[in-house]
Amino acid sequence: MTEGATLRAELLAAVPRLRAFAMSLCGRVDQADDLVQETLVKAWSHLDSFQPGTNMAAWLYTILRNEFYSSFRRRRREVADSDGFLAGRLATLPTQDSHVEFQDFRAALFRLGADQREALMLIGASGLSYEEAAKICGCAVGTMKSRVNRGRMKLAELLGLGTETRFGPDARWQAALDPGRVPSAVETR
Amino acid sequence: MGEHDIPKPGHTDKMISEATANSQPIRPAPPRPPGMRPEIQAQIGQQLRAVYQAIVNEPVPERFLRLIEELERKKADRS
Repeated sequence: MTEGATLRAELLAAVPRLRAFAMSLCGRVDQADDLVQETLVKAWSHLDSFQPGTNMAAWLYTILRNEFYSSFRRRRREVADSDGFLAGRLATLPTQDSHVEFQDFRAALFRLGADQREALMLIGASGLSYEEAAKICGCAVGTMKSRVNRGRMKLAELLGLGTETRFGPDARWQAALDPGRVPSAVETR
Repeated sequence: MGEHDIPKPGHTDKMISEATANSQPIRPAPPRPPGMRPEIQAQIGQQLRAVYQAIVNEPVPERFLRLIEELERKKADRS
């Protein structure tokens, strides 16, 4: 059963990435893990349709996404609620300048449309190619590129990066850049 | 339609290029071209990877180890 052992190892190795992708779809840790569980069960019963030597993570992403859109989402209506997303994990983030920055970013991510968030997670975060991501999502490569671009622009707008921002909390960011243009009441926040 | 609508040849350009050369590229003059400044794109990319890595770096929850064991057992029972 060495082949079985390899498959098992590959499935387990893919779980962390599946959880991250599921989180970007569900927005909640508990639901994401349920979705991953259903994905693994489904994948296990269709292992014969997996072509050895191809990208197992991409194959699993496809199953996970189908599960989410075909049945999972219908059963659980509270989608894209960022409460509980990554709750309690903030202390373990080495690359973040601050928790506030991270939380702002996370909130902005969940204000994007689902297709843009998904595109950013697949390509910007998990490092798939546009071609792989397009295949997983069943759309054209050009569509995928456009979703990534629009998603980035929207994030930049929501976070007030490089734009004349209209959003309150981001005024602090502007203040740091250009104290002369922002009322001092905002600077002292 | 005042006279400051008409840039004085040479003068304005010189001021802009001096300002650009002497200060950090913090506030480039709008309008921005289509597309995104590379440093902002990089910042967004870094944050996306941070969100992703925060989950990926977690240990695999027990439930998935148990699930795969159970699936294997069922398969063994059937064959």
